[in-house]
Amino acid sequence: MAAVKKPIFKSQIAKLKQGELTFWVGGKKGVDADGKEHLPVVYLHGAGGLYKSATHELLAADRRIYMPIIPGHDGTDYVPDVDSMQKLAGLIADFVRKKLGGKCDLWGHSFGGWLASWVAALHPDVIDLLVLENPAGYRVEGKGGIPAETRELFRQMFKHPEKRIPDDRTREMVKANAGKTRHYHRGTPLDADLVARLGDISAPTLVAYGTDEEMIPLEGMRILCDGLQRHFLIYMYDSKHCIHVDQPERFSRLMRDFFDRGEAFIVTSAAAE
Amino acid sequence: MKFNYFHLMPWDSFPERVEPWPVANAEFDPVKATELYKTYIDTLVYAEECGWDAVGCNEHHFSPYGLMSNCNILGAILATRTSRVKISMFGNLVPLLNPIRVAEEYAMLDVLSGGRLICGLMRGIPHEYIAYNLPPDESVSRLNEAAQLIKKAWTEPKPFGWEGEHYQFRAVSIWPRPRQQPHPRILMSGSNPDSARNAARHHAMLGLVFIPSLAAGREIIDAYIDEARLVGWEPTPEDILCGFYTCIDETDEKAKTTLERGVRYMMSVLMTPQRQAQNLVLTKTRYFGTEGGAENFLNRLKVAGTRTIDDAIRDGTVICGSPETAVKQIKRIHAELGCGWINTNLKIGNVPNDSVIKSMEMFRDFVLPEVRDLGAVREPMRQPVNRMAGE
Repeated sequence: MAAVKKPIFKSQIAKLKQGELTFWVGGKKGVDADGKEHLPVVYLHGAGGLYKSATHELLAADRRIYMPIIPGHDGTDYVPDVDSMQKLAGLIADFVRKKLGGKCDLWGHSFGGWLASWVAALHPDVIDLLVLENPAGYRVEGKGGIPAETRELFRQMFKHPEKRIPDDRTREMVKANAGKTRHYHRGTPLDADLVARLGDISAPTLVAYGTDEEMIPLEGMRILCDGLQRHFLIYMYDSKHCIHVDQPERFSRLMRDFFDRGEAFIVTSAAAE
Repeated sequence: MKFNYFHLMPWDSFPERVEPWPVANAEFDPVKATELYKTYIDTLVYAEECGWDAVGCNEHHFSPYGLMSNCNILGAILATRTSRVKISMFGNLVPLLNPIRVAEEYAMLDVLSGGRLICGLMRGIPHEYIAYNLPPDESVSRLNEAAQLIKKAWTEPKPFGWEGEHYQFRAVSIWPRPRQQPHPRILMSGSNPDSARNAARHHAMLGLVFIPSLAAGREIIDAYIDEARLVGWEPTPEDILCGFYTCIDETDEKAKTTLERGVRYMMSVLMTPQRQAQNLVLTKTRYFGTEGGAENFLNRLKVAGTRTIDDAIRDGTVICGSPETAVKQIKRIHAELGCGWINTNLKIGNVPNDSVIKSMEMFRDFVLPEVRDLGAVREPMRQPVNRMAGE
């Protein structure tokens, strides 16, 4: 009989001053070469809710990963009065302060990348390093966006759908996520307020962009990168919108390298040794 | 019709005996090679004067087959010694090289030449993978990834990184960037329908040589056009380059005699050593991922090796004869293939260099004036093969 794989992540609830925040947590606490414990990684999911991928699992081998459910998604309720990107960023920052000792490495995908940008701009104290994976909020000239038709949406999400791992959510739960992020961003394709604040982001930022990405236009990534103090734009070859699904080995290796060595990640590890 | 002058730069005095590949270089004479390079470079420069539209060479390793282990070095010379012609590098064997280096060197050549570069991004022939110790099984995936990375390096205005299957670069920003915008025209080889389709997916010019017949060439071109339309662009005749051994003399007989001798030397001396190494790669690896790919490749070489010049003339796969004959042959190629470029290769094996020059001058004086305007009136490419009924 095949062994049942023990789940890496478990669900918990954080009680914050604004209200309750559901989150998933898992992974081993790793240490760096000097024996110092790695910062926890906070992952902010996209508009489709929290889908745990092989990238999360691989990164969890030596990192504690915290994955808040954006209120309103995956069967959770909105938090009263948290109805803008800025307030939502405050909620996430408070989560980091209360549950994680006040500092984390932050990784956001799509809508989560948009939110992560706001967290980094408004609450730089809670972030050491920032990873934005095909972040939303930077759509220009009417380009990109989430396709209405399910089959087209699926096609634009994954270059390698065969790499998806089983989803622990019901279809209904996933379906109910549609449009929930509008509660926070009101449907703005290009967040001009955020663009104006990008210079406030002091955390070195890795921007991961799929070479086959269609939902987020490359022009938007240029606006983002032009605004950031210190960024690294990395093209993820053979990836569409969900890099964490399409290229788990490469993406987890890249992020681990970035989290381990910060800006020095541009030097190959062999040369750095 | 446009013409490219291609030079393989062979070592044309290798003894007629069977040698294994890689070929021992004990008999390589560097002093003679200095003269040979000078002759070959002068010939390429002279091609501009004779009316060719592009001049260039390619890359091969470890044998007298071609003395061109890095065509970009020659490209730099051609860029400064010519003023009008395109510089055609056909090309760098991309899977064997550092793609960022390729992007940089090509950008240098484009700037040096004032924006006259045509960039070959080639997969190479099988045995070259032994030379640079890379797995032949990865040749296609390396080529595809490297081609995308090179284009990115040419077009990205700000520093970027690349996390790929074969290549990882965390910080790239090449100096110089190419002069041609968004980037120089790319050429990829299409020796079979699969590779032709791949060239179309990269929006590259199609280059095909050693076609066994014009009908086979047409099949490859059709595959290229269909795929290009499928991915959303429309090829023109100038996107298609077909290569032919070329020899022009006062009479058909004279031209045939010269070319026959050169081809015999080419096949029996210069190409023999690599055949064994090629077989090794083709039988022991998945260089050709598709079924029958290796057989097709070997067949193509076998046909090329056993076919007489008369056969080739009948099939339309060489340009060989008097100027009048050459004009007819070129018109036939144009009519049957619809290509806008012909790649001429005049220095076949040990064809004497003075015969090459004579051929060039006859081409200039008697052939080119008759065929220059072929395709000048732009005709639409043929309709898609796979067009659905009723459309």
